[in-house]
Amino acid sequence: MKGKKLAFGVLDIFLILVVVLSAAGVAVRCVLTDKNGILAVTPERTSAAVQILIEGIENSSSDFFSENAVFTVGDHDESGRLMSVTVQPAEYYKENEKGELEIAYEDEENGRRDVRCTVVVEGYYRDGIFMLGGATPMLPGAEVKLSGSGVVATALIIDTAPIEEHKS
Amino acid sequence: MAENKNKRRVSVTAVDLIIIAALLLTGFFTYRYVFSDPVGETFELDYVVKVSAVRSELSEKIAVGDEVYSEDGAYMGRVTAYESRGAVMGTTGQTIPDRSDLQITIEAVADSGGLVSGNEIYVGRELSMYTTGLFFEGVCISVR
Repeated sequence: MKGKKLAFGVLDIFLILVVVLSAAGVAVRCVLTDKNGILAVTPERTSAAVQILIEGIENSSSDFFSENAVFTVGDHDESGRLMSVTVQPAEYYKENEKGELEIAYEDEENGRRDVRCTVVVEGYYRDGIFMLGGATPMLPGAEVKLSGSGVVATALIIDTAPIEEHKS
Repeated sequence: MAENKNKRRVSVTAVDLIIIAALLLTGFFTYRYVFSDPVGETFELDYVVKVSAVRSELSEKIAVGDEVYSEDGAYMGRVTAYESRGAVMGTTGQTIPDRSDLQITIEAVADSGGLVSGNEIYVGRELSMYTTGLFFEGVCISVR
């Protein structure tokens, strides 16, 4: 009994194969596919022009938003450069004499400002959706954080379009 | 003698049976995990999400046929209809200029537990979702 040798048979090989194939199946499911079980292929990194609107910021803070200013966009340390910056007196709603709401504008000199601009940022297109950092969908209606030297703002995304020529 | 030598006996012990049983169970659960599509009956579910006071320039970015995903990327169905109305202040009933209330009807397949990609859909539930054209946050106002 003491000197009994362990024999390595066909059944052992079969069992090992089953274990290895099971592990491979789990790996394929977890690593290579997305949440919907579709094979995930890493797309090419590209640039997009994201039109944004920053509403009601202080007059002095609006100076930070100028052409070619660089901001960190979102939570993925992606840098974005501003283009086509338009700063206007901020819109707000006021009630007219009929009791209806109407759009009014803040004081031209000292009132708050709305900033509309385009931020050029890199990311990935997945299923037609531009994903910042490969994870955050940059879609109209979503909000994104912009942080730069001296100012942090939340911007509403108005539109997103691919721009191959800005690829660095 | 020579005949006995060639007749090699294979003995299956209790330990072998336990190992085989364990492997079969492992295989079964691995299969269930890898092919984790809902087992059992599924049914079609239509639900309506109301999105309040959307900027008018954004309300046009949704279309019938758009696929809808939850914020974490799970498939939540397809847009079958949508309605855009002038947004109204909940408290005073005043119309809000340049804003629309959207009602988006989504058709989805729910599993036997009534879940759509693991998400429970019920009236009053707040949902953050997106299509290829619009990200929206709304409240479910109808399920049928």
